[in-house]
Amino acid sequence: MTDQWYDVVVIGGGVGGMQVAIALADRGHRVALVEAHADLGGKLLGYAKLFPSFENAEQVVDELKNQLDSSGVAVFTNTKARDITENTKGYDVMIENADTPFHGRTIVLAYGFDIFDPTLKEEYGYNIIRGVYSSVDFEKMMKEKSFSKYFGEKPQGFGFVHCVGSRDEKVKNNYCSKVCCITAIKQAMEIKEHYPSADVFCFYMDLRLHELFFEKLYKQAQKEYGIHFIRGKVSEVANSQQGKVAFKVEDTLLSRPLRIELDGLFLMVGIEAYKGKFPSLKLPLNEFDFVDPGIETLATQGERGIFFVGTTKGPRSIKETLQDATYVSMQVHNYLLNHGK
Amino acid sequence: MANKFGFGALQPRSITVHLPLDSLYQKMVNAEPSLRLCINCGMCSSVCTANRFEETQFHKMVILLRYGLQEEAFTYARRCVLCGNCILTCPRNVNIRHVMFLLKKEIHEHSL
Repeated sequence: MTDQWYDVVVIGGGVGGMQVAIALADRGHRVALVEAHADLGGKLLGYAKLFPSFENAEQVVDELKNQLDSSGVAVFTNTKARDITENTKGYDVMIENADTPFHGRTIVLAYGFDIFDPTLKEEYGYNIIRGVYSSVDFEKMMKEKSFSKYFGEKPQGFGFVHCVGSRDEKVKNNYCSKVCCITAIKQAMEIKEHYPSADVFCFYMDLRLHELFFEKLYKQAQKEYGIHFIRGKVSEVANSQQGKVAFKVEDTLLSRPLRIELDGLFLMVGIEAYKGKFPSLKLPLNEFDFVDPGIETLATQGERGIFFVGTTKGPRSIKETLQDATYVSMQVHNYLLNHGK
Repeated sequence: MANKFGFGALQPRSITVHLPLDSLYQKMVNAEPSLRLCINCGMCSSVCTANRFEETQFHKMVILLRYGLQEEAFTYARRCVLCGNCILTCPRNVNIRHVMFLLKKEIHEHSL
């Protein structure tokens, strides 16, 4: 049995992993890409359209796949990395249900993130109350074009609850997931387009639209789509007698409580650190279980030949992940050059 | 005088939102689409001539209209002197004076 030695083993075949693998193969390195699932693309496979340009998610994945095909990267799908051990020459990546490990002179971890489990916020009644869905469910409905199956032909109103599992002390996620605000606006516009006569509400505590064109989309959602933004978060969700989602919310700008019944309520679930860890590998993690960029750049990346991409380091948009992947590929390239390729 | 204890026979403070939203709100939004852009920041209220003496808060009025609380919105509209300070300061360029003018017209036409 031949030992499989690679210059770089990339773990995780999402957008970040694919991009870093392509960039390194372009520079002439022998790269292996290891993905646990049958298809490349990661979380992006579950999304329909992307903010802020309503680009097709599939198109982005296909483009990366095409580049990957012509790049010469050795792609291994259905291959789940179980553990990673360090040795003098590099790293061994153990695979589930396989005897031979992958050997890499360097490894790039692009394992991505987990999505917050909305059942932990019991007050929203996810999985209990009919009509309450998550933003991930929304993307699925959008992809399948199955809104009418869930809401019929003439629904009157929809709501989007921001910050579910983000900036929340109770679930120990004391950080902003960064992408949910703009996702809520995108999804609100999409459902308004599908049901023009329905009223669409966004219930927020702060709107964080940090990127250049996000504010533009927000304005468009207000002016052209007539989406209502209500400052205040939802509580006491129940089903009304008509089977709608009834709940209370304080309009904090008016200082008055509202009672409202809607056909659907979507919870904007946040980004959490990936929970599957590699037992033998001690990762530099911060209090949120994300890889800490400070520790990583100073000690880990330079010396040990282990690199991190995208959402392993915290919430990131797809664009930011792709940019980060390109930047990390330069670091890996330099490392390989400096360590006698 | 007997000590008062507990709640009197008050109206509930909570607002029940009915869908579709109030027709006057729709009318105002159609007549002045920039109204939708309000982010309720309160800059208009801070410079409002009338608000120096009596509560006249446009940023709240937008919400009152949306929920169909016309009477409360009209109270604000009646106090407006159409000076236009609010338009100069609005970060979203909402034509507030036009909205106030339309509401005053509404009050006048229907003798409210």
